[in-house]
Amino acid sequence: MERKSTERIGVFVCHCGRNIAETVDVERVTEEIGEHPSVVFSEHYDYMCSQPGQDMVRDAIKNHSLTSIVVAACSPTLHEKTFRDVVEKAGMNRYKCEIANIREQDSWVHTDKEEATAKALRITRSIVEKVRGNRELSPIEVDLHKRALIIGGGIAGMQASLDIANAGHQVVLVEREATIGGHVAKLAETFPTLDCASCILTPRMSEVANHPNIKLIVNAEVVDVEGYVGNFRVKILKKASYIDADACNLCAKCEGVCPENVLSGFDEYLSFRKAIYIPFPQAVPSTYTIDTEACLNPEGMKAVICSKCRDVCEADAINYDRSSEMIEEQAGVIVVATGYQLYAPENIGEYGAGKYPDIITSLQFERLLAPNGPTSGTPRRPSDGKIPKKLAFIHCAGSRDENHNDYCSSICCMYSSKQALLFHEHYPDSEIYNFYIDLRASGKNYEQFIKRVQDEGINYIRGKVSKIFEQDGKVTVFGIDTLKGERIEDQFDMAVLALSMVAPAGIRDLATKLGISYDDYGWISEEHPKLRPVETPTAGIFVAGVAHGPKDIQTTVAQASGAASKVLDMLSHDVITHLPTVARVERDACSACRLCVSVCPYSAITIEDGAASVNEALCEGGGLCAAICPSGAIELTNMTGIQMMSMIDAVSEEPR
Amino acid sequence: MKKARLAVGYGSICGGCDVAFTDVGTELVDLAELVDIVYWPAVVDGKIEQLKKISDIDIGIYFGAVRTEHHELVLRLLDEKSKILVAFGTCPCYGGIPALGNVETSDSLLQTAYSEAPNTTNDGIPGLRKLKRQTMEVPRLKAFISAPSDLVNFDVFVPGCPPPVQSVSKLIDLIRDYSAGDPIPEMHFIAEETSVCDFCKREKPEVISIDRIMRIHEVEFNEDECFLSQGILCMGPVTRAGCGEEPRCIQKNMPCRGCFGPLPKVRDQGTKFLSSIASSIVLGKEKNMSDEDLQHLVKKQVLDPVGQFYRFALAVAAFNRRYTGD
Repeated sequence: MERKSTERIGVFVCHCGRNIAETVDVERVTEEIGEHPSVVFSEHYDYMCSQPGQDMVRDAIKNHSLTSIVVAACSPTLHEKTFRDVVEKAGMNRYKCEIANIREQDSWVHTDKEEATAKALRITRSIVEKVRGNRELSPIEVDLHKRALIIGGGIAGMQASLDIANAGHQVVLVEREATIGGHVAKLAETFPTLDCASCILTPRMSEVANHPNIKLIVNAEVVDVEGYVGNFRVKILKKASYIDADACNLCAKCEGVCPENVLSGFDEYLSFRKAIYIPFPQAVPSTYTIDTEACLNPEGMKAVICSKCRDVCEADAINYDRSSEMIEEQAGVIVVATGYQLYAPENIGEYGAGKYPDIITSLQFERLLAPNGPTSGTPRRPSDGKIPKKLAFIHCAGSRDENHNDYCSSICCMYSSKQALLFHEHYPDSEIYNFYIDLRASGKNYEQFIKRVQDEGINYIRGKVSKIFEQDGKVTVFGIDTLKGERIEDQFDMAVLALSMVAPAGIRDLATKLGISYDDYGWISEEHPKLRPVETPTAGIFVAGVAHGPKDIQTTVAQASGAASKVLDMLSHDVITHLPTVARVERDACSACRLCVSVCPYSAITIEDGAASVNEALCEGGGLCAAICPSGAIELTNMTGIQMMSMIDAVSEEPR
Repeated sequence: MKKARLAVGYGSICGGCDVAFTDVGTELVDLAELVDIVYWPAVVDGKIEQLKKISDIDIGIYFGAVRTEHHELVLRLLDEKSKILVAFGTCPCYGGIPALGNVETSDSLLQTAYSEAPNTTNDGIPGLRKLKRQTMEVPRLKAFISAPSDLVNFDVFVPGCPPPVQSVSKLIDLIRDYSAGDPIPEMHFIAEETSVCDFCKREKPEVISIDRIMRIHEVEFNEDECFLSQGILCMGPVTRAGCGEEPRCIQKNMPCRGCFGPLPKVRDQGTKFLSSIASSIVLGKEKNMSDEDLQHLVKKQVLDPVGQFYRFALAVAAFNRRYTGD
């Protein structure tokens, strides 16, 4: 139907098959919205997003000289882009196209057809009011610094760095520890293929070390981030490195003379190392490092009490006069790949870890299995160095437990089974029990792997363990076998806790500096769980690996490559376009009360010359400033106060 | 020069505006030379019949809000007969204090006043009908209180509860200019265009985050620092400046109450303030608090939200009265 009007709005109502049409009378919506004074054309169709549907929009714009359109369909997060592309091809400004969400906000959540139809009409009318006030806009263009900053040098950060560097772009890789490699470097073998972990990891590490496009900064943390997509300015605090990495020839003489012994973090505190050390032989960068907390010389080498390592160093690589430095780097994009840490076993008092030596963590057991571990791969128990005969693996230690972490850590079923298998292969006479709640083995070939472990003769007992303690040199486990309905009280030589993965210390701080959000657990939030899993809501910042939530190595690597491809997409342009729907300040009306500055999560507002000023490249159009502005001096482009009031009037108007 | 004819009409008033007007002192003599006062209940005569008879008013000034039918009649007569119509005080501009009565229905207000109040012995209540006693007639309450500015178009607005002396001086200057034949700008406000914060000399921190809402007697506050950042609710950010070179309440160490009404681009002062405050409370720390804690924070410390946020501009707010079903 066509009517006469100066404003020429077209409305297209989608059936979405039965998704909308079942609960909303789309014909009636089409007919009634057609009576709106500004609507000159309205039509409905089975699937507006299909090619014939898109053609219908295109043709209507031409045939009826439409000035703007509204598509009443699904959420704008899905097809807003589709239809904006269509109208742009038809010669209409893309910001004159709006989506009225009558599916997620209406048909899917209601059952009464009469009411749902009335609501669909209200929603559509309000969007017609919005589009009436929309201005034609063009995207804001921002310069792009063609360089990527990767935070975290674990398997995720390494993969992302290599993918980006191999495509020819510069990468800065920042790692908190003295070496890259992350947790994977500590593992013995990986499930389900039982690849030797360091065999698959170390070639990657040396590739990172030798790549001309990768600048590696270890012993360093990101302390400040300024700027915005395309133009981040990052301050990195690099701890003083008293050893010249290029000069160090790994002769190990320094290690021999160093008088200070400390527990090795790399070996999960199962062995000792010196204050001057290399975490493991294949560490990258390949150099010794001084642990300043353990070194006899006071913090910052303010005084030299002991100089044995320097005295013995033939390569002259050691210099105590160096200090921490603040490195400033520029980058166009940032990837957060900060990984995880294990849940502190002390938090689960009833499981006795930390109190009894033979109740250990899964990573400690992994070190005991590893050929480069403290026992050279012979898994001896910490208390007396004997090889245990009877082992208990406790799944979900801290996971899927509302008293600790209510999520599933996703990999514990698999690695506990793997550890059981590796142990059993060495010691076929051993007796091994896995205490589990459910076995989660949904990855490729994972279920087959579990079957293989079970066939090996390893026992699985379904039920949560209530208490673990040591008595008379034996580890006693209280639990329940829920399949048999029996209480269990059994003695073991050793128990391994599959502790949950938790967000690493400092991640919330880092996220705040980056202006990205995290969930209740500290995992970095993605923009959309299905469609934008590696993007954060802040443009130009991506997430990869366990920083985003627990996952296994293969998913981590896949996600890191995903993040890298998003980075490459961005770096392939010379300029970045930014949404023009940003906040605007009417400077004369501003009283510089600073409330907007305080509330903006993107730090996009500053006070300049007595009035607020918005950095368009930083503004994500969130609208908090517009809501908070007590003077009404800030308005969101294409969502002004006038538009909002007319939309409210439209939704509150009684339908005829 | 021909003297201008001045009339002052009353709505629901407290009398404060009369006092404030005369507070201008010797300038009243200037005013007397400029104008003939043809109607002003407190000064010359106040019978409605008198106002009905008068024609050719140059300057009509209205005090108060519209509570009764009589108030509306006075307003309409002034509007009809005056060349320049002035809203004097916060009540004609935004409804003012009387509009707080809109949180109740007129019926229940009468019920309380005539029947439930402890010192009344009335058998019944007058209700909303007219009361006639001999020649006297008590006007009927309207269903709710309106801001006169919503009923007629004023030319000049003089906000303030009451307006300060310098506003009265400026009004007299305006009358002088008008008498001399100068045009008066449309919708002219004798006030500033920006907020109280713009004129406040207190120091504002970089980030304004309120950890706990405090009432003024509960805390020993810093006299040089922004009230809001110390947790004391100050209406300064949402209130027009103009009450003094340094805002008059803040200068006396009290937070702004908001009597100059909303800023030029804002209609609903209270809601705007709520929206501003809601975003500043425990800024950045919300994630560590439960919804109950957050609600408690506001409910416990803001005992009278309508009185606190909508004290002077409830009549022009988006939700401005108790819903009565019609």
